[in-house]
Amino acid sequence: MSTGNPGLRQSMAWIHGWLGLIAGWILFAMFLTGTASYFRPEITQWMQPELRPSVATPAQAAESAVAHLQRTGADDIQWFITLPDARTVATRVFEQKKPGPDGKPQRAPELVLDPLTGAPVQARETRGGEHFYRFHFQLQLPHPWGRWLAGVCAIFMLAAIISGVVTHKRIFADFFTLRWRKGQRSWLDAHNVTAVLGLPYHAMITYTGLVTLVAMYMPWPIAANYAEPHDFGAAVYGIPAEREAAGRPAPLAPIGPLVADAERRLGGPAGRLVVRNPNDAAATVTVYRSGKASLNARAPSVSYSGADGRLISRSPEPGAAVATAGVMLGLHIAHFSAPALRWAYFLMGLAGSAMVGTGLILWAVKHRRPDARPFFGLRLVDRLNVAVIAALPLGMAGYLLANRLVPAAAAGRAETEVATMYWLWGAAALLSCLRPLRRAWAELFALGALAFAAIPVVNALTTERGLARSIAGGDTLFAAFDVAMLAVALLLGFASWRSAHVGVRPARRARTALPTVEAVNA
Amino acid sequence: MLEPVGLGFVGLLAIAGASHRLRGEAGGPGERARRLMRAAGWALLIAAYFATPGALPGERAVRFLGGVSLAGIALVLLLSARPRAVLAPVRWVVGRRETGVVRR
Repeated sequence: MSTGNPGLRQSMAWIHGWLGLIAGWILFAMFLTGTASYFRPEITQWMQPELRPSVATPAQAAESAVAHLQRTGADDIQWFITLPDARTVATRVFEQKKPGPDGKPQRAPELVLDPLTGAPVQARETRGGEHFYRFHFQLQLPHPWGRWLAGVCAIFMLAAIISGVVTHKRIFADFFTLRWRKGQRSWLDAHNVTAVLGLPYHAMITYTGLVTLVAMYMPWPIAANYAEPHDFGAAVYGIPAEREAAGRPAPLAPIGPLVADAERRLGGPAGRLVVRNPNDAAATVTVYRSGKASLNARAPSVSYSGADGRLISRSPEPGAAVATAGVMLGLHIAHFSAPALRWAYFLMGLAGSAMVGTGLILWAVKHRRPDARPFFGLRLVDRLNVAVIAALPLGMAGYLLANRLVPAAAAGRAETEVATMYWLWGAAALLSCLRPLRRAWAELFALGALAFAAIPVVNALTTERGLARSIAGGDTLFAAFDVAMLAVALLLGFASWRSAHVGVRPARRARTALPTVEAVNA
Repeated sequence: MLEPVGLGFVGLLAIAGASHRLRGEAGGPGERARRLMRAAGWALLIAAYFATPGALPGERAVRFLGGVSLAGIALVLLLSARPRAVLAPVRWVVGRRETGVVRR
């Protein structure tokens, strides 16, 4: 026994180190942007300051949206309507148009409507919080490559978690241990603390992230058993069959009463609805319950005949496997969570980012020799660490600043905002290579702190919803957003100060005198 | 979220006070006191679970794990900076208990 365990630990340590390193930079970006995504609707609201919350019930919002669509797309194939709630201020509508004269499908832009009047609202074009959300599992790569890469990294992460637990032999003895200014030992402590205390979250978020896209990673069981993916959706989730239009005109039944009836049957507020073949005798209206009413993110639905409002079907009660998959998705995206729990998710996400970041730095510190010139791989890891850990937050701040600085009516401004993030991130990463390592860390963190501190200032200068006015007017979301930006600025400022100034405390014993990042990089 | 964070913090503080590494800052409790503190810490963690509200089925477990994890990270950060100050309540309890033992 005694000869077997050390071997296993060493193997696991090797796996842990290399898997963590190879996937670490992408995982850090996934963790950080995914963490921001917990506030996706709030970020979108902040990025469209022209929109003000208006109080409308889901039934009212559905009625006003359908009234608008009747004027603009009465002969569309389908209408997808996402209803507003406490976290979103507008109704979002997507029309699937009939094919054009050339037989090709016509693409219609997403519409943003006032929930009360149904009129299109004039707000700046932006991807909002959706950008961070999409990036965290698509990595701005073409479909499906981004999702595949994210999936591979998630598998690496899961393996790193398991191997890390096996490797960590003093997991209970070191449970409360965090020693500052002791070089490699401090990085190891920080990595262990963020990893062990957040272990339930890290394991949950990694596993559920993988399961969420499992049908894409392993499509063969569905392909082998169902002729079309829609057949799988119909069998498992009760998605109504896509019926062809009958070709006989029939006015659409009033939507409001259908939504109200659906809410009663589903036991929760409506979140979205799909109208197929509107104004046709074969029209159907499917109302989905909001995902906030349950841990299971796969919300149930009811379908009505669009012509006479008759109930057609209700999604079947999910079996154990489908319910488990739905709960896993729900645990990952946390739509069910109230503000306090959402903040807990957010803070744990930051702890996850810190865990990955400290792990990456630890690898570099461990492989550095005080008397030897760093080898190429170590220099590469050092520079990539700076490029991701210190430069990505700067890019994210740039995305938010661009939202305020690019003219609201500029064409293609949403793409400009996104491009700003990548250009800033890339430029900062490249320019940091021209600086000594220690200064690169300190300077990029300082720039990040300045950029985040500038966000409330620029917001106050370019909109009427600055911090002081928000506090005075009870505009909680905008006030909280600005305060959060200042808090991030403080955090990055602290990181910059530590990178620049904090050295190592003299070791009491010779064997504890491990080299520090600061000492070596100076 | 206050219940799992608050009770979780106190429970973990008791367990930290019973740990070998922090025994000095915790007032040097004896073996029996350390066992009692550890038991009290776990009891508080269990109490935190049952005190955690959850409107939806399964939400309580999510809130509990999230709250206790955050409490743990906060505790470790505080212990890393001011261990004696953070463990002062534990020292106070240990001191009272030891005094009581002497009187008996």
